[in-house]
Amino acid sequence: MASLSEIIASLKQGLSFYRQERVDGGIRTGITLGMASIFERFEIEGEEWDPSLAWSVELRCSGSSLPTGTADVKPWLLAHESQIKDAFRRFSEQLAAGSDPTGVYPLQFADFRGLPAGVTMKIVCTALRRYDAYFLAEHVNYIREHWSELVKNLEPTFHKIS
Amino acid sequence: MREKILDTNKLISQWKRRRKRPLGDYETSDVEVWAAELIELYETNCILTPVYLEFIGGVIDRREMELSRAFLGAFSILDEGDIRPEDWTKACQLAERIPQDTRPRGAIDCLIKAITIRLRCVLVTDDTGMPRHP
Repeated sequence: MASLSEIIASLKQGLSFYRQERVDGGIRTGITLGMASIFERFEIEGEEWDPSLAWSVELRCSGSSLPTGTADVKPWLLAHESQIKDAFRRFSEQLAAGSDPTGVYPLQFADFRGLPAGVTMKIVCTALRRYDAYFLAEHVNYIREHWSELVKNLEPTFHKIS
Repeated sequence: MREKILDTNKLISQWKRRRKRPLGDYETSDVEVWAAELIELYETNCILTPVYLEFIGGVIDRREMELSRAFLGAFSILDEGDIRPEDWTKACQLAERIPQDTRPRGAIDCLIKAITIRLRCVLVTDDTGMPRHP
């Protein structure tokens, strides 16, 4: 087990793409570099009344060959589209066959193929309820089918959380 | 990832899951590892002031307090203790929202959700208390 400082250091160096839905229906898609949100899109109809995470799908990337500048992140994610979509396809098949992401720990899928040296990726997903878990394979598939569109449509994050 | 806040129940379940022996058998370095596991799993070290209070409020003796402080010390309190009038207003609105099953809405839960909304974050929780489809 890595130490706390090692884990925090690795979070500060990682790159993540995520898509998540809250219980109140708000859907957020975004990219974080290190621990900072750099691109984001948030959609919600009506009032915000419960920010609890209903489900979440994250692509977590780590390694020495990750992009380090904000401007390089989207092109990098798009350049590895085929490897990412292939993993999402196989993971959605695994989910559809029966997995329980409502358990204690998030479900993880790390069987990526053809990644460049110095890069590792994994998909991590959670669901609050079985109702949400039931549709998780569809959410994973949606991300696969709309990968380039989702990445391209993200807007720079200007807000800064104090 | 700063967008995700860990709810008290996530901290408590990790604590209970990892504690196999009497607390006297553990050092502060052990509970820091428990916290690190949770941080790594969810890729966030963020909690809120009410989460800290709720966790510490369940402690029953001095040793557990010492270890709890070490455990909680691994996390970052995103609101930095700055709970604003608008948070209380929003918490009140959430408390007034009667779910179909009429289950009581906890004051701390409502406050945690109100602050989470203001900070534009999501709450990682096991609490299914509020209805999916009101």
